[in-house]
Amino acid sequence: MLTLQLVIQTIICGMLLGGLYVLIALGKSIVFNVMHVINVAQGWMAMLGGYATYWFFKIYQLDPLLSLFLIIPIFWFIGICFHKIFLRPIIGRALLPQLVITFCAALMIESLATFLWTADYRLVYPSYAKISLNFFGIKLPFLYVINFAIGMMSIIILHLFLTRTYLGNAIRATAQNREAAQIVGINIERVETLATSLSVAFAALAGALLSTSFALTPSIGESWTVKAIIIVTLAGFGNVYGVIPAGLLLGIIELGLGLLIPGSISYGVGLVLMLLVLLCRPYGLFGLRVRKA
Amino acid sequence: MNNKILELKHVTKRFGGIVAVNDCSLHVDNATIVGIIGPNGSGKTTLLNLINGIYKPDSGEIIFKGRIINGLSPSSIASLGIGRTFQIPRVFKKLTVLENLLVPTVYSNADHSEFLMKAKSLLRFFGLDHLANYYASELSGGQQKLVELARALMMDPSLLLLDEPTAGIHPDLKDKLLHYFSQLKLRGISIVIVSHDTHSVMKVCDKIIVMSSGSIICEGLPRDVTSNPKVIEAYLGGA
Amino acid sequence: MIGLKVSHIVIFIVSITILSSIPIFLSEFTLHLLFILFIYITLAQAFNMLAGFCGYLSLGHVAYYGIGMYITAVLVRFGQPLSIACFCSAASAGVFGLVVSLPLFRLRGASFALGTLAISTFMHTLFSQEWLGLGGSAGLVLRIPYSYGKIPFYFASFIAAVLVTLITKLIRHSRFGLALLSIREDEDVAEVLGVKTLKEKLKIIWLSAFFTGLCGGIMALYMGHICPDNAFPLTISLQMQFMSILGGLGTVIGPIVGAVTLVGLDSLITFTIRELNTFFYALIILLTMIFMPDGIWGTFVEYRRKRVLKSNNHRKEGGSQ
Repeated sequence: MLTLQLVIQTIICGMLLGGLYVLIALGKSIVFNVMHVINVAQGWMAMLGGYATYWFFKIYQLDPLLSLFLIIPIFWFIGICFHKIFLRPIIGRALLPQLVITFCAALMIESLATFLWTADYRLVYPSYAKISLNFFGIKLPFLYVINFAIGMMSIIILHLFLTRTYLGNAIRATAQNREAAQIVGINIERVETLATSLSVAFAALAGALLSTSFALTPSIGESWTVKAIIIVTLAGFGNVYGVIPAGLLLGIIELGLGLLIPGSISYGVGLVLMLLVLLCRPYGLFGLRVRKA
Repeated sequence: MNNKILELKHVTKRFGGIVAVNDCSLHVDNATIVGIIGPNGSGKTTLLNLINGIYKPDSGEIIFKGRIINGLSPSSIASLGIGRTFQIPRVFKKLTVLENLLVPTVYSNADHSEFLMKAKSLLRFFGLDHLANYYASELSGGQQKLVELARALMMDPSLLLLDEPTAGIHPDLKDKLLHYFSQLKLRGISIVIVSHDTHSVMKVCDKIIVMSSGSIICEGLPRDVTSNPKVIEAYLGGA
Repeated sequence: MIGLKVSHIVIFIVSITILSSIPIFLSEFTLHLLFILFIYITLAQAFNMLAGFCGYLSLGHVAYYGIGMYITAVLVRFGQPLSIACFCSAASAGVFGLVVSLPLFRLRGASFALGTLAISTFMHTLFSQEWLGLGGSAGLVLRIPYSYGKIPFYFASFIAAVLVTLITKLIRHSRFGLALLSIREDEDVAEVLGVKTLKEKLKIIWLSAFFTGLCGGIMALYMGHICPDNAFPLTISLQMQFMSILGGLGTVIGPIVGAVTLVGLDSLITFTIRELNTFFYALIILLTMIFMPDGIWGTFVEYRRKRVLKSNNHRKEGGSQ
């Protein structure tokens, strides 16, 4: 029964969900802007973050929200390693080698995860998972709201970091003009490693938050990466902050379509939308027109 | 009988809010060398890009050999007889020098061996024949510029558009190049040179056009232009 | 023909003769393996035409494969003879490629790649729909008299592989090939030099889609069961990329080397624990990509080129010119 309430509920829930996808896409966008590298393995990092949350919950009964304090530093470190091993060789190389190498990394992660943890579905189920908030008849899962809030807070922290700290400014400078940044004395190597760590940590954060709403399996990394790519494309490749509205939009589309049409065609629709954007508005739905040099 | 090989009439090009080329009108007479000079950002390269068809003008007409060419694709314009080199050399990096020179000849029905001979003699003239089988990316910047020039000459264009042809070239070779341009002129080829190397440009050009901030501010014989107060102001800055 | 050597022709003829005469001596399993190998070689060459020579990365190339599969299935159902069905489906895949690429070719690099990915995913979703009458997600089953055994399939795929390699070789040494390479290196400059880039791109995508669709058609007859998961599997797109880059993009032998390596890797790696197959598979490809960035054959070609140049220099230093 399609009531106005249901529609609004779906839209808001979609936004809440989309907010989490934004976190994965943000990392991708940052890495792309700083290093001109497309990191296909991003979604798999999120998957690992989700699994880490699951194991902390299962073994130590650690509340998923509290475990974030552990997960973020752990994955920050993992990001550094990932950068040194996989991303450093591919900076400056053509598109296909980048895709193949990062995808190989993703495959290695996925097969290792399947080997260690099997492909069984895992869900993090804290005690407050069943709570549903009720605003004027619109029911919102408590988890969705909390996750969204944490997600938005992290984005604000990221923004402050990028604009108020030296390292943050260094990242933005490198993204805008690599050579000028080098001349000014910025250590590019450090900036790049930092960008990767950031993006991996954000992906893990997203995975951790998503693990409470979605069942995890190693192959979920693939759909998360695809969603991140769609979001980054919808936002326009160079537009980091445009990722936010684009992600929210994708969330709405995903839940909205699930409501109207049975079956999982939101995947296909998301990609078609991306295709249309590429053809008609290559600078993204939320991008700004850039002068052709 | 129209002696103008190239004419631009009130050509304007905007990028967003910036007017790169503002209502420019100029002409190039047959078998002459015209220099276009001006400070950075004055729209010189954009002008060349408009003539080549890389950009389409927002308004105005570009006429080549009496025919309106704005709106045609770059490849059609090229086949009409316009050659081009670029400010930063854009050679085909993973192709050999020889292959680079052969690219413009792909549609011609003439015998392939003729083009091969022509390419080799051009390379010999520019002193690059020992590099014929190297990838273009393995050459120095100055050498790449010469490859670009040779490549532009392969199909005997009637109009050459050269963007900074002498930048990064050894001074001895520079004079040889300028002399070569005069020879091309005698053969009936018209050349437009965009350059910051005002000294060289003065030596070889029949006419100089000065641009600043997208507009043409002065036009005339080399020595008249250099003493023009407007030109001096454009280079040194002013209101 | 630029750069065509007699030795190449000899090797070619010898290999064809050998490969044509052995099938009778081989077991069913070996025939199957070689059949798959030849299909993969054809796919790799087709992908390489667009990616290696022209510089356009088609992540969703499997779309043409799937179209070839479905059209063959439909034509066979309507009683068309098998070879005609295959050919028609290949040609239709080619036409589809043209239609789809016309708008797509306005995009470059990553955007183009993503666009093709969107198309192939869309095809998968489209062909899963029941109302299309093609069996939805369950697909169609073909009833073909299987009394022929595997040998005709061996020859079908063998001929496809030979044809596509031949055509690739001819293109490589032709003016068409030079035009494509110039597009790969710098498309805007190629335009300015008179190359009609759109026309050349459309020509190559037709060829590439044709052979990809041909593989789909042959596979449809071989497998007997066509469904969206069979016809538009992401794995085939991935393998086409892996093979081409592993062997060496932009070379003629590269895709063959890549296909052999991939199929070999697949069969050899089963000695480890099942779940870790993919891990070692990916690891080996990763290491190859990092240490041999031009691909296996590509690195060899580079090495050979540098040696020739060096020896030429030594010769010139001695003489005069």
